[in-house]
Amino acid sequence: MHGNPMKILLSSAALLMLTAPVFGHGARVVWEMQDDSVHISASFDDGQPLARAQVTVFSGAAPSVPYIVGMTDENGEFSFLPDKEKSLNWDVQVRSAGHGDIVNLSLTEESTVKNEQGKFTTLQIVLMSACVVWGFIGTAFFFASRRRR
Amino acid sequence: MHIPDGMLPGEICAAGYAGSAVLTWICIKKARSSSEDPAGIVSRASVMAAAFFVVSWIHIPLPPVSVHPILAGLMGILLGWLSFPAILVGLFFQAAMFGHGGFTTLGVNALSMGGAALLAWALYRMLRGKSGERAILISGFAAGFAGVSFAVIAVGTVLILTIPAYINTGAEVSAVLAMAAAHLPLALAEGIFTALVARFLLRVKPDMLM
Repeated sequence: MHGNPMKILLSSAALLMLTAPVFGHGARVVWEMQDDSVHISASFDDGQPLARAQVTVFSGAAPSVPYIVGMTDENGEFSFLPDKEKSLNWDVQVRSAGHGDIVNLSLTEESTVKNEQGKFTTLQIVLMSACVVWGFIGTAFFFASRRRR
Repeated sequence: MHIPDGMLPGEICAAGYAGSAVLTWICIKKARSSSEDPAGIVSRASVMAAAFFVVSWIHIPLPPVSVHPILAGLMGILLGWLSFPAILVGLFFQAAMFGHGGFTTLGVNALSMGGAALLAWALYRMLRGKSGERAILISGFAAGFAGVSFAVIAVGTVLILTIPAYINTGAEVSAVLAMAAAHLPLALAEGIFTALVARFLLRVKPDMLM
């Protein structure tokens, strides 16, 4: 960086923008009511199923005692029948090698699909990442300019 | 590789924060005392933090798990002591923007990946010797390979030692071992990549190597 830091930083910024995020890695759990049962679908952010992950269901009435334990199938799916008289609030943890998520289910509303938060479009992800990357590059410019004084 | 919220007990998360705070302080102090160009190294650390932030989105499906580049070894040989704070900042933004990792587990994730970067850097310095492209290729590969391996060992150890009582221990241990095995190709790839970058920098900009 002694020779031409501006050129190096600009090249780095361009390279980072070109490799802008397209794929994800975190886990996402989506649930919906199917008749009286709750259907869980767990996947990585890119859609790859979180297969054979351990599922633990806790009721709001006894949040530290597992109500049901099980495992997702090859498609990352799992279903259970909640006892609505016991509680209307449920926590579901999906876990495989430390990857997974915990979702809170509130069975009081009419809508079927509840948990879609964290699901960004590719454009949103690119823009969000670009903003953060630009922050880093801006910081780099700031310190590079201090070096030249 | 990022442990999300809700997977670790509170005391482990607190210990992770305490450990990463102490290590950050030590790293910054060491970097300030050992660098002749503090502004330059901070500038480079910012660029590398951006690279670390972005590469975690490059997802490689290896069913039943999913892996992504870490660049701990490359961060180590390019940033030295500042690799740990740079990774900590990158992890913070990954958690804040996309929920990748978590805030409660930020300290533990920083210790596993940032600690791996520091260990990889130490291994690189030990193997590099005095000069020569052969030495730089070997030490660069070792750093890249070790960066992934140390992080996987750290994460796997923490996960296995903190498996909750309600989880099927055998199944979770198997899943952790599968996760670790899936990172072997990534470790090899990062080793080769880091070796090539190190050789390139040795030719064109050797002062960038710590």
